[in-house]
Amino acid sequence: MRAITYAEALREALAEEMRRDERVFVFGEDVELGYAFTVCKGLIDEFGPERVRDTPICEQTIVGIAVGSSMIGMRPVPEIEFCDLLTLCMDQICNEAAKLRYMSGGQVCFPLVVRSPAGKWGSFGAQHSQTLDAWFMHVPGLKVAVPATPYDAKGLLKSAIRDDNPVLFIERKLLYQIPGPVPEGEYLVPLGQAKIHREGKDATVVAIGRMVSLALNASETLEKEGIKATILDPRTLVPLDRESILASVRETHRVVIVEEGCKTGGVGGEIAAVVSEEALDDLDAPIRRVAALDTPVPFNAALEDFVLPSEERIIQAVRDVVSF
Amino acid sequence: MMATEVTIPNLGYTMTVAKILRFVKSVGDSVEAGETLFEIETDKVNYGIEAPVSGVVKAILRDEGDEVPVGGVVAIIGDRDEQVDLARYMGREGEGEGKAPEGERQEREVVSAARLEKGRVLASPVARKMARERGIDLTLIRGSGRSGRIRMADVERYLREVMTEGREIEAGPTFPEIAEVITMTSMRATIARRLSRSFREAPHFNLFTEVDMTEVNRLRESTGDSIEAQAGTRLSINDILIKGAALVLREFPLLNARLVDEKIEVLKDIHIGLAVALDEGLIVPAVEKADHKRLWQIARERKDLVDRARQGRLKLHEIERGTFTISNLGMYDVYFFTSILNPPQTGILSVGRIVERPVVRGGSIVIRPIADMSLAVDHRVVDGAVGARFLEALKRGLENPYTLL
Repeated sequence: MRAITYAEALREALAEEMRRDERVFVFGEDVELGYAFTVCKGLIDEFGPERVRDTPICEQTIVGIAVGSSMIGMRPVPEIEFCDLLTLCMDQICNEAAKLRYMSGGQVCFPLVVRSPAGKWGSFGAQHSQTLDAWFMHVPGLKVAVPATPYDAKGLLKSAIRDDNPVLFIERKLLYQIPGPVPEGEYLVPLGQAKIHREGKDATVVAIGRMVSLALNASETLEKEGIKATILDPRTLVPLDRESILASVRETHRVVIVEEGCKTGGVGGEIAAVVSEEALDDLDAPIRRVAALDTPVPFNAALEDFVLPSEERIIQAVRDVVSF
Repeated sequence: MMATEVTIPNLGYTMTVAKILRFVKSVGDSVEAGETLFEIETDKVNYGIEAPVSGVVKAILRDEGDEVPVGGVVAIIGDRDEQVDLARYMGREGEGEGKAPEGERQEREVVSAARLEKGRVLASPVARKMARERGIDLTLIRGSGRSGRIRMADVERYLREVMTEGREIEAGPTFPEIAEVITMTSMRATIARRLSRSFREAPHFNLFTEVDMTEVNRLRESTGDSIEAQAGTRLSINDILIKGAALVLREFPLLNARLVDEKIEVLKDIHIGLAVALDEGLIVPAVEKADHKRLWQIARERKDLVDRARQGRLKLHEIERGTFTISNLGMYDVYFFTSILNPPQTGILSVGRIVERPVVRGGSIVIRPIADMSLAVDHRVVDGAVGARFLEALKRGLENPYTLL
């Protein structure tokens, strides 16, 4: 199978969906040239400035246009260059896109996909390095997808674009240039279905986004110690594939949840609560969370690495639950 | 109202632990002061522990079947809305034991530690679930997790070991088969422990004599009806032995004494214990101040004590108060025997069957009812001559029982 990067996979998804459905269009800051992470690069050549459009630096307007155009039957896919800036469009996303279908009694739907990269890029400072998945997970009416591989990036984005509900599509900066196997031709990855990357009987590591590759590396080290871990990626946080997580916990009896966002009020807390509510009697050790420290992400590279989760911390957490 | 602790009271000199038989009240129940909260079994009796105050049972800290040392907290009574800090009562087993002898305290502390563990087994949820599903007592499993936590792997290992053990037993036909394993009752275990200690620590010697019981028999016959009218029972040999021993003990105070830490405590009152055989063991209720009592009074008290011993309704002080013991196996075909001292007493009289035997009286052989008796004495307290003089005096008294009246 051919290998393409995460960014190329996303671009393929956009192109395929734009070809398939003329209501699909992309817009945002620098999308015509494909800044900052090259996802939209070249789309303008095929689809023209009508469907690939630069906007001023005004995030609330970008999402506001998306909400309005989706309301009249378009399928907009706006890009917010850094997920940190989603704060500027919280009203549009959380109070309008997420709620208006409900408030209109289902008369109007909002098929928009807000794409935005999150997480570390490397010394991008506290306002350009956050991982805010959990914020949107907390809003009823939104779906949240976090692809970890080129394959999932393409398949999930295509599903998101076809969904009639607003989807927050939160990508990962450090994954954009990482290649991975992606089949030729069309396929979909359904929202709400987890993926098991590796199976082991000793612990379940639920990893999200870029943390999947860290967890996979960690599992290789652990395997040398005789500890075999299952690496499970939920792929979408809303809807969350509770059944797959619980089934794995019932096999391994130990859970470590790894996320790039901060620990307090994070995704890991929600998944841990699901596990303890549904599978307490299957646990052999407390649930451990590996997450960013509760601090702004530092600019200093060494401090940034210290604050964000690392392979070593995942290894420690798995050792901890196995030996508890 | 402050929360009130309900503890195991010290019910007797040798009491160290009590076993909780049954809880009458549960957590949340209202209780009036004086109502029975739970029942315990000591080495001597079963006993109901009453609520010291009125209130609500806030906590029960032990299980039925637990052995709890004297002073150990069993339950907490407080106001209905009161918050009780239960953590305070965890790990307090050792309290209230200051009076216990050193050796026994150590033994109890081991028991306490095991029980503490039993009350708060550290186990992971899945280990608990497995144990529950397979009916395994978690306290039997050694935990390999942190702080001895029982983990799933420990339950699995235990199951493997149990299954392996089972196979080995099947494969090994050379061992004698066990038909039944009887766990000692608290009473049996106490008898075993106390008598072992007595036999080990108190150097006994035994003195033997034979007593002509002609006059004792005559006394019983002549007073039979009148004593029965007063006492509600016929005068027994035991009654006369009790009275005789009590009177003679007045002259031999060292035989009415006990040894405590190299001090001989001579006891003021003379309470004669009579060994009563029950199905489950031996119990020795004592006739109080027998030297001051008339024979009919002794008969009445003896009958009452024996009846209640058989019904398990003796009070603790009736068992604890004995200062000297008589053990009579005369109803069996036993001519003579010796007894082990009933600690902490100094002497015990063993009485065999009355048998008609040819004896020489005034140069002629006559047939007389004779009872062989032995006196076991703690040599640490008295020597041979003292014991011998006591036995001689007792023999003289029994052969001339009218001096006992």
